[in-house]
Amino acid sequence: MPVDFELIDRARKGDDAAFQQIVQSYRKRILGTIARLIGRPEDVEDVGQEVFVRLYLSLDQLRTPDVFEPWLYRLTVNAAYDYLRRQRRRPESRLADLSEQQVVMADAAAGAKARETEVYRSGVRDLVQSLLGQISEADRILLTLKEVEGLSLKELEAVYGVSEKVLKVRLFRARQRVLKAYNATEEARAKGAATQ
Amino acid sequence: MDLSDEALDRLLQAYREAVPDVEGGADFMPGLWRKIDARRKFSVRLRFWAQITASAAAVVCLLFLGLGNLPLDDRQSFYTHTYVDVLAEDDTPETQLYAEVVHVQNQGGQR
Repeated sequence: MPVDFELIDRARKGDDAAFQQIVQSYRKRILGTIARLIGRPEDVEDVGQEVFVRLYLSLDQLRTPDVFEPWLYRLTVNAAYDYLRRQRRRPESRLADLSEQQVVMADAAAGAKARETEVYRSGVRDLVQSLLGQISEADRILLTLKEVEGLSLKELEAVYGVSEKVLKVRLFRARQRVLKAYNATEEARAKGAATQ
Repeated sequence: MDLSDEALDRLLQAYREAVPDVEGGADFMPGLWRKIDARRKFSVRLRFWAQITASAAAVVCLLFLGLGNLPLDDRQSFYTHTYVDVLAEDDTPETQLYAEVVHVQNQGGQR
């Protein structure tokens, strides 16, 4: 939900009420993006607050209000990246047995409409998060922004400050890594099933 | 079973629907302002201590500059003559004694 330039300008000049309005306008979208980037509902608000704190402290560096949205996305990407890196440093066995998740997902995907939507969604969430957890934070964030959040290459270009060509290469590699991670997991599961 | 590109797209789209946008709790805004205030206070404190440190460093620099200048004046008053002048004026009893000994020894050798 874009906000008008005048509001951003007022916030830049130190108007706290204007800043609060900006937060209200972008809060839902940014928190949703963070939820899909980090995959931990319990930490979404913390990371979201960090994004808006950084925004508040860096607003005076914003040269023109028309680059506000890419700027906000860049702050979101950086905060999510910092969070994911911290999480990687203290690994936690949070992932449930993937094979079980995949079974749930496959059942649901096969069209077992009797299954609850929530069970299906939970399966999808766990599967995607486990796959994204196997690639680098940078790949994970880029892929999520493009394929899940639906940002165009033009928008990503503004967020990352690199050319479309470079982004396409990075995206292609990220996709390949996810596919490889999926296939490796599948293979491991098949082997596990064969030995049982 | 390999995951195709199309299946990956569908999976990621399903993920988008499985994780909807969230509004945030009632404490989101108060919590945000608390964090902003904490950072503001921290940066004010940091600026204060940076100024204190810079002032202290400036005072120490001035002090050393002053100390460096004091002995310089002493040295200038101490070295008023050249090395040759000092040697020429060096007429102490030790030097005379040394010269006499050399003279006596030379005379003894001639004998």
